Amino acid sequence: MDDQAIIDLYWARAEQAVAETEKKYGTYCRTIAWNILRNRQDSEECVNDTWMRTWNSLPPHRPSVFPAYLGTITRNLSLTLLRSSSTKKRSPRGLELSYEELEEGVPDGCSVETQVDARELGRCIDRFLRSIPEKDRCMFLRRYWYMDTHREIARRYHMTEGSVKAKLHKIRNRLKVYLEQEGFTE
Amino acid sequence: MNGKNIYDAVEFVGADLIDMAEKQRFSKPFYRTALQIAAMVVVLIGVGTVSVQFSWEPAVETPPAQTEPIEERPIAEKEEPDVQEFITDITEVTEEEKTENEKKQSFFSLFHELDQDSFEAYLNKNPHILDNGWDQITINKAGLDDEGTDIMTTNGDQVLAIDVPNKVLLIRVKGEGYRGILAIGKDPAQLSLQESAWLGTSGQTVATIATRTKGVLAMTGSGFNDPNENSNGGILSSFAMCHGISLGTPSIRKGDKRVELHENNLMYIVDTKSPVGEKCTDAAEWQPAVIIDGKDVLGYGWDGLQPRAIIGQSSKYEIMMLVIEGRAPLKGILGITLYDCSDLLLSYNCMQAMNLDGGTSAIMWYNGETITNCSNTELPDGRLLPTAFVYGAE
Repeated sequence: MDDQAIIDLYWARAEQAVAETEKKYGTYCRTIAWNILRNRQDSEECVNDTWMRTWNSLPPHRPSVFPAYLGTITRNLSLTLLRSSSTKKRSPRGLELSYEELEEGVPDGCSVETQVDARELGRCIDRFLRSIPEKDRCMFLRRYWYMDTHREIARRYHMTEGSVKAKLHKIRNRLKVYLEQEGFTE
Repeated sequence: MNGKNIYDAVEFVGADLIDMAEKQRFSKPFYRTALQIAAMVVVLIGVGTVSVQFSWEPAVETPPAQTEPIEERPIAEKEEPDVQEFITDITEVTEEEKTENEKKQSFFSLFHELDQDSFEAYLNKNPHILDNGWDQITINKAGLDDEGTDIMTTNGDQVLAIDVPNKVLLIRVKGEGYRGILAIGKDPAQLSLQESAWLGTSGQTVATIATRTKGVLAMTGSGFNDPNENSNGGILSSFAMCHGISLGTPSIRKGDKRVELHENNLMYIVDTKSPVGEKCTDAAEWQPAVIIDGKDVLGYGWDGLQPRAIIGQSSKYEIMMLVIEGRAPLKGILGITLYDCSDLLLSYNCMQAMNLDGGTSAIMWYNGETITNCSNTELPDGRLLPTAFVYGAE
């Protein structure tokens, strides 16, 4: 069933919509949740919450890219769950490491305090990503949106882990320069 | 601002970019493909015939140095789903008296991979296949000289055989440079590892082992000692367990894994250094683990084009047996990378999968005949092996 037909089911309030979404995008959302949480029970919980949020938000929404819409919900729920007090103690080291990696891409003295700022920063990163080669863009998003490990990225793009790390390092440096040019400094 | 802020901000990146990062696959660098082809051509020129040169080539690739160990996650062990209940349901469905419509629904429920429209079109052309009812449908176009059916799976692959009495589905999988068969056995309790009758002295072909044990479907099992590349497959290279009896000794080769079938009909993939599960009934060792708990766990370096043999289990606990042909460049059949095998299995909802001894050992047998081409054309039934995975053995 194509995405438009599934969205139509949501708009018609047909419960089959959830089953079709699970069938088509269950694995996709589970992978996103797993990459962040590394815990099957929590991942399952996030995916189920994703279906519920989607059910509650369609209508009024009619997403143009349905998988990205679902993935964003799963990612947000997973990050929220990860940061909640109950799961902090078992926060996966991999995620902390990728936080640390991204520190390199942050200009000195730059601050983002509000959701509005985050949205503006997001738009800026979007512009940056559209300005770099397609493969670099995909690698960046695989690492920092999908939270893939270096090994998974290496496998996906037929590279060695070392090349992936080096490439991401260069992209982060370029991001830092770009953000500075865009005024993300004090 | 810190790295966490960037993570939050990345959320606002355009949906089209997110979608592209998920779907976009970049091809392998040309020089690596060229090197593989060049190596094959050199061998071809050097020896004159393809089959002889490749016949004793070990299928094992050198495992990559892993900076992070593969995480073992036999999560199914923690949750213990009631597989028996699932199997009983299938049995009851076929045994109870039902209306024709209910039987039809049961059929499509059991063979959920089928594209219903193409199946019904095939049925209209061949109405005799329903002569004995929905629960006795037997279609077999899987022979080496057969061309398969017009029935497709919902993934768009051709169906070769549907065997309702034995609960078996055979699917043709093919792509650029490879061809093979994915067999799905619906009842996991029917799978077992069967040893050669002459184990310790000589191996037997998969066909011989399957025929002796009265199986329905069979494929490559354990690896074997092959010091001069001309052994008779009689000596196990590592540990194996056949119907509860331990054979051989656990492998100490780095990266080797053990696939275990337990009494609860669940498949587990563990390190060979781990103790054998108490409820294990059948086991074989090789490498690498391909999928654990629905996630691809392959590291870097499994991109050789080789004939492959993989055993796995789906999210519905079905047994998945994948054999890919290869090393026949004159026919345009080179083999497949393990990454492509993984993608293929995941597209059929595979949850656990382990690579077995491929190469010349990769072979599949069904219902009295060998249904994949061995990479050594002089061995139509494949080479002699110490064990074989057999579905439906007595």
